[in-house]
Amino acid sequence: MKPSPSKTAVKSRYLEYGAVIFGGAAGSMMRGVISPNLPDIAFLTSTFFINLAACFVLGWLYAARHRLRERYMHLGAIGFCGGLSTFSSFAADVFHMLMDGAILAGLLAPALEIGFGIFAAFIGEALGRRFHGRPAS
Amino acid sequence: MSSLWLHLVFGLGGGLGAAARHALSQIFAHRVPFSTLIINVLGSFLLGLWAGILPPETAIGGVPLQRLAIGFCGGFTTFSSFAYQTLRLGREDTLMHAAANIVMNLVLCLVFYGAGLWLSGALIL
Repeated sequence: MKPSPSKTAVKSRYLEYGAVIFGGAAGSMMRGVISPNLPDIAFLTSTFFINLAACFVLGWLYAARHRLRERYMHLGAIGFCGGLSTFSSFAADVFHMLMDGAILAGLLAPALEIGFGIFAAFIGEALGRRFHGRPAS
Repeated sequence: MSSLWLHLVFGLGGGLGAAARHALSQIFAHRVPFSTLIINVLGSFLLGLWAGILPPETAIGGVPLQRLAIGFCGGFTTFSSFAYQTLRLGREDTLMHAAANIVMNLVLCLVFYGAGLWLSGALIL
């Protein structure tokens, strides 16, 4: 017979998903509130700026991971940053740019978003390492 | 529904999406960027699909249901993990793999978003 998981393990699972759900809801709501209030600069939509912010925070969190309990990574990295950033709206934006014949914007927007997104994660990680010591593995 | 409630419904969708992502990512835990790819493609497909399936804003449950579904897709898919994983792929693996990760995510998400739109009848080719 398979041993049933201990009560502590079950409780820890609930807490883990609770942290992910709470962080994801907070991140999504923040995007929902901020997004309509951000201007679209040319072909760069509000999603662009929000995604960059999430990349920066995620890089920082991963650099500080050795200082944080796993629970805070579930809350902040997996939940909050994942909820704040979105790939589906980004794909939708690019798709409609291309379908509307705005080919240049449809090529530049993803190039800039991905390029700056990786750069933001890099900067966040570098700053995290600077402030929290030991390099991220 | 007041706008506060709509924000809460949107957040609920996002929270559920994040939980679904976390559960899926543990199934493919051995290949981390791979799980993010599957999640982003699936979420983009769903977002396209909702466009034609969700009831119009005037129908009962229209706007809240839309906020819930779109919140789910946004919480489910992630740009930040994609960017960070690409950064690490480039640094610890090869630049080729990082580039492949970018192209696969972008192209597949666009294709599947379009497929969702088309399947739901929101896109007529």
